[in-house]
Amino acid sequence: MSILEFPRIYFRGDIAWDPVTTNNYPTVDRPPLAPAAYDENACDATLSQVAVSAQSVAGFRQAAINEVGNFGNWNPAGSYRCPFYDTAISGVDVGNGLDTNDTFAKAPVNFTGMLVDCEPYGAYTSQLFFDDMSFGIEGGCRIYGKRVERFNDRFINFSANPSNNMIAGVASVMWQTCFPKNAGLEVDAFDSNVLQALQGCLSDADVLGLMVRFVTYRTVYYDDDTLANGSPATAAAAAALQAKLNAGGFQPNQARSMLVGTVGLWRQGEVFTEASDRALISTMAAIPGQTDPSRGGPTVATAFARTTATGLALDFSNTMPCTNRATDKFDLGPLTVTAADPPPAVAIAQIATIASSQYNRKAFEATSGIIDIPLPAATLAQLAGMDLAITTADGTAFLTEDVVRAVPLQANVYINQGETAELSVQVYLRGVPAGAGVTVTMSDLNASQPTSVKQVTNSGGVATFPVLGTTGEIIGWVFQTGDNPVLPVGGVFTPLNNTYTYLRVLPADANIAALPPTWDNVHNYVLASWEAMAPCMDNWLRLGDQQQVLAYANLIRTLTDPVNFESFRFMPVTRDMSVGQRTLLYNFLGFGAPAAALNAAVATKPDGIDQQALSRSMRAPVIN
Amino acid sequence: MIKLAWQTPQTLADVQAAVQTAIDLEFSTLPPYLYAKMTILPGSNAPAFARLNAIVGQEMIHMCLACNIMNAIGGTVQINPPSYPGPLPGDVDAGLIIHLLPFSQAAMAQGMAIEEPSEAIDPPELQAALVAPDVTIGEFYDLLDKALQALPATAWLPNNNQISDQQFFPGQIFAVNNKDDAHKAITQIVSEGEGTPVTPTDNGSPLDFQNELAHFYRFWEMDRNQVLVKDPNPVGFAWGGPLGLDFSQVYPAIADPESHDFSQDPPAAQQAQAACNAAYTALVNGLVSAFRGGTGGLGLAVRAMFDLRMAAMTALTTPLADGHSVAGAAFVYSPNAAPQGDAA
Repeated sequence: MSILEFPRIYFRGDIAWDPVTTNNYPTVDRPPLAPAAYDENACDATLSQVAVSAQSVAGFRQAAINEVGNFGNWNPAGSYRCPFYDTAISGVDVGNGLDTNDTFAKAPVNFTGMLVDCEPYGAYTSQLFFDDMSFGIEGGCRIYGKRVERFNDRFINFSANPSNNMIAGVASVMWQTCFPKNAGLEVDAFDSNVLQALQGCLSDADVLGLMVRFVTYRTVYYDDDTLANGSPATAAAAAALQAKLNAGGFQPNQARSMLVGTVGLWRQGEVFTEASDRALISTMAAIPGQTDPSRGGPTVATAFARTTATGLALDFSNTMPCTNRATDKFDLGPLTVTAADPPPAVAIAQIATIASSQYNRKAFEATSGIIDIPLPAATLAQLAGMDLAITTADGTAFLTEDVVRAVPLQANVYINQGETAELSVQVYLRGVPAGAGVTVTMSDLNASQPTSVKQVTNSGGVATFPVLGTTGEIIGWVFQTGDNPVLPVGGVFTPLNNTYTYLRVLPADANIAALPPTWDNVHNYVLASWEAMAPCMDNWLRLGDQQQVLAYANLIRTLTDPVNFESFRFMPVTRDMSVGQRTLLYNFLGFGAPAAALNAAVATKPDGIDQQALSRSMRAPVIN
Repeated sequence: MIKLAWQTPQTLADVQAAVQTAIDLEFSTLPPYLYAKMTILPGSNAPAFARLNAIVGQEMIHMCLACNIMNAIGGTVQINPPSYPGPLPGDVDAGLIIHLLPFSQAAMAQGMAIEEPSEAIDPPELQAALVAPDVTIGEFYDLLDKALQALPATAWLPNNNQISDQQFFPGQIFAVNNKDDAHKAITQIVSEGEGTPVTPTDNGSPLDFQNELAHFYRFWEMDRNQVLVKDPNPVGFAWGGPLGLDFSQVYPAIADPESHDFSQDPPAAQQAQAACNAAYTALVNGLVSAFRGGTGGLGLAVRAMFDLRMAAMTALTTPLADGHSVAGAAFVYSPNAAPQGDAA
C-alpha cells in the first residue's frame, strides 16, 4: 500500500541542485537562439548551431558564460551533484499517530544524486542517479538502501507557489524510487519502534522492499530567496556569477529547495518509479480570489489516496499550493472527501471533512503532507468501489479520481538507434491492478492531431507498446485508458494528470564509429562536446588532454561502460554517448569495440512501432 | 595529544591572533588526512575512504568558518602552510608531531590524537582508558568563543569577505556577521570534531550536532577496525562488528615526502611532485584570494584542489628510485611561484 501504509517514516530538509544548464537551450526551433546550445537529437553541444569540435570548446564555454545574463543560463559550470543537507527524520508513525520521540527521530538522512534530464529542453524528465541512500548512520538506528533504479520526478506543478517567481521557484515536484529487500537493503532497528515494525513487515512475502517518495519545493537561486524573474537584483546576481566564471576556476551556482518525504512499504503491484495509488487528479479549479491555473494561478495538484486498516490516507505532499515564499499553504477552508458510485449512479456521499489545520504548513511539515482520516471499517470497504473527490464548502471539486489509470513501469527509457523499447504500463482500477482487456492508448505528448496507437492489457493488467528507435530523438509518450480518451492534442498535456514515459533514442553515429581512432577524431567527435558543455569534467579529467585521457584509459572504460549506466559516477554524466562515439573512444584507448552495444545498435526488431514515423504522423499538421 | 597555548586576549588584536591559530590548526589537519585518504588503493577500504572523505570535507568547512570569523572581526586571513613532520600550530610543548602517513593504523591513531576530546566516552569493550590532555582543541575553541563573545559590538564587521555555502558544501558554511554567528560556527567545529565530551553533568556522546559520528570516533573506528554501535549500556555505545578495513590495501607510499630528497629519483617522480606542489601552491593562493575578497577565489582554490588530486594520483603510481615505493603529495608551498594574494 505504498508509503501511505503504516509504518511510515517522515523526513524533512533541503536539497541543493547543481546541474549544468546550458543544455536546456535548443540548437534550433525556439528563437531567440542561444549561441551555446544543445542538439538533443544528435546529442551534440553546439555553438551557433554547429556541433562543437576541439577548436570551438573555448568559444562555447565563453558563450555559455555570456548567456548567464542574456538568456538566464543560471549554471553553466555545475557539478550535477545534488546532495540532501540539513535533512533528518522528522517523525514516524506506526499507526498510532505522529511520533517524534522514537529513537530514530532526528537521525540524519544522507543522499547525493546526479541530476540529469532525459529530455534536456523540457522539465518533465529529471532524474537523480545515485548509488545509495541512508537514513541514520552506521552503528545506529538506520535504513541503508542500495540503488537499483534512479529517482525520477513526476507530477511537476508549475503553479505550486506563484509568489516565488524566480526561474522554477514556482514549482514543486515528486520523486520516487524503491529499494528491494533482496538487493542490499539493511534495516538496523535497535530500540526504534518504527524500525522494528518495518523489519517485521519486510518478512511479509507481499512486501517487496521499501519505497521512498519525496517532494521538493520553494526553489531558491543565486542563494537569494528574494530574487524575482527580470528584477534588477537578479541581473546583479547574474553579473556577479559571470564575473566569477570569467575569473576561471570551478564556479558552480547551485540552487536549493526544501523537501519533505516519506519512507514506507513497497508491495507487489506497486510501480517502482512513481505513485500508483488511487490518483485524485487536479480539476484545475481556480482558488477563490486567485488567478486561474490556466493563466499561472496557484493550482491544487494531484494527490494520492489509499485505505489503511483504520482509515483513509491522503498524500497531499505535492497538492496544496503555497501563498507566499515562506511556504504557507492556501487556506481553502474545510475540504470534504466525497465518494460516489460509478456512473451512471448519481449518489454522492460525504465521507469526511479535512480541516485546514490538517493541510496547512505546520501539518505538511510534520507528516510530509500525508493526511490520515480515521474511518469505520464498513465505510472503508465501500470506498473500494466508489470514486473519490475532494471539494470545498461551496461544492467546487478540486480533485477527482482518475478511476482507471495507466501508470508507466519505466519513467524514462534510453535505447540506442536500432533497438526496440518495450514501453509498458500497469493499469489500475482505483489503485488496484486491473485485469485483462483494458484498452490503453499511447500518443505523442506534443501531438498536433488526434493520432494514436492502442494496446490491450494482459491478465496482469499490463499493456506493452514495442517502439523501434529508428533515429536519434526524444519523444514523450502519454498513456490513457478507455476506448476513446480525449488525447492531449495541441499542447494540453499536463504532467499533473497525464501519465507518460519519455523514450530517448541515442543516435548510432555509425560514421563516427568508422573514423580512424586518432586523438583528433576522438577529441573532435567524442570528447569535445562534454568538454565544452560540462566544464566540471575538468575537475576529474581534462578531456582535451590526450595524455590524461590515455593515462586513465581503464578508468574511462569502466565509467563509460553501459553496464554502469545507473551508477552515480557513470560517464558522461549526461548519459548521451552514442554507440558510435563509444566505439571510436574504445578503439582509441585500445579496447576494441563494445561488441554487445554495437550488436544492439544494428539489431532491429521488425515488430516494433517506428517511433519517428509514429511521432511524425501525430505531429503532422491537420489539413482541412 | 595536543596541548594548545592559551593566553586570555587583552585586545582585539589578541583575539585575531587566536582566531589565526584556529585557522592554522584547521588547515594543518588537511594534509595528513588527505594523505591517508589518497593512499588508499582504489576500490579498497570503502568504509575508511568514506569516513576520511567526510572528515576532510568538514575540516575544510571548519577552516572556512574560522576565516569567516577572522574577517568578521576585521582581521586579515593568512594561510600558513605547515611543514610535515612538525607540530600542530599552537601546540605549546610539541607533544604531538604530525606526519604525513599513508593509510595505516598509525595514521588513524594520529587522527585520534588530533581530535581527542577532553574526555571521550568509554564503550564497554574498550580496554585502555584514554588520558585526558590538559587543553584540547575543543577547550581552545571554548576559550576562543568566550573571547569573541566579550568583544564589543563595534568589533564586528557585517558582510566582510564572507564565504557562504552558495557554491560549495550546502548548508554547512555560513557567513559570520556577529558574535552569535561566531558561537554557532565554533559549536559546529567542536561538535563535528569531538562530539560531546564526558563531564560530571553529561554522559557525553560520540555524535555531533547533526547526529553524525564525530571525527575522533570515526578515527577510533578505523583504528580498531570496528564499528561503534548503539547499545543499551550506560555509555550508550559499544564496539560492534568489524569495519572491514584492510590496511595492506594501500599504495606503497613513503611517509613525510617533504623530508624526502627527490633529486635522486627518476624525472617522472620529480615531475609528479612538482605538479603536486604547483597545484597545492595554487590552492593556497586561491584560498588567500577567496578570504580577502577576490572574485571567484574559492572556485579557483577548488579547481586547484582537483588539480592536486590528479597530480597526487599520478605521483602515487610513479615509482621512486628504489623502483617500488612511491610518494603522495608532499604539500609543499612554493611562495616564489605565485605570491599570496596575487589572484585577488
